[in-house]
Amino acid sequence: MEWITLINALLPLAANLEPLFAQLIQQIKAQPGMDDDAILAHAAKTLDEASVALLSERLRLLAEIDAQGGGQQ
Amino acid sequence: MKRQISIAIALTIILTFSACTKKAATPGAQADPFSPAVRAADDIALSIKLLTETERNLEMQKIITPQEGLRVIDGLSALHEADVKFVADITAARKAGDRTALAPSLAALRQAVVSLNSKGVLGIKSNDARLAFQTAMNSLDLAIAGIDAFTR
Repeated sequence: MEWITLINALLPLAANLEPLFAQLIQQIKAQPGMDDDAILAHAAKTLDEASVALLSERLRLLAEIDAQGGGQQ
Repeated sequence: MKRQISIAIALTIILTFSACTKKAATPGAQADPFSPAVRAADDIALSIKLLTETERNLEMQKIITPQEGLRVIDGLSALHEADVKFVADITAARKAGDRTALAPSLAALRQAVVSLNSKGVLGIKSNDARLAFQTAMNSLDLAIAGIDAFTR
């Protein structure tokens, strides 16, 4: 599929554009080598990490809004 | 600001790549019919994590307000909940061999993306930040739509 060839060529560019996504690229390229059970386990682990990040960020934002004196913007 | 656009472009490329390369994990082995859903669940999980980081970066740079950031986090939290349910449903559906059982949780995922977009992203005042998130939302929706057909 030509799309895959094109996107494969663009992936290094994506990683260079935003190093934050190097992990995602690595993950997706590793997927074909992982069985579905391993991928599901990885998804669950990632969701656990995301849960912590979301809660942490929510608390940080609420503290900031509180420091501002609250209010909607 | 160009960095936020680059984030959106990077995520679009990556999710498109993932959507185009759904295939069996073991070459030559019979493809697991649930593989596309499994991979999508993993991609969505990582996307949630990265979008949370993106929101944090934008807010700390004062490109978006904390109120705007909180609405995005609310939306991402709902999407997170939907993906947790999706992962659980995939596990059950694989055991039962029933792909159609995934339809409700897939619908919930799509609804969470729509809601994140309408209640979180569209309210962002910064054009570039809004564009960055909207592009990522479109890519997420694409990833979910790509597996929607296989539940029928």
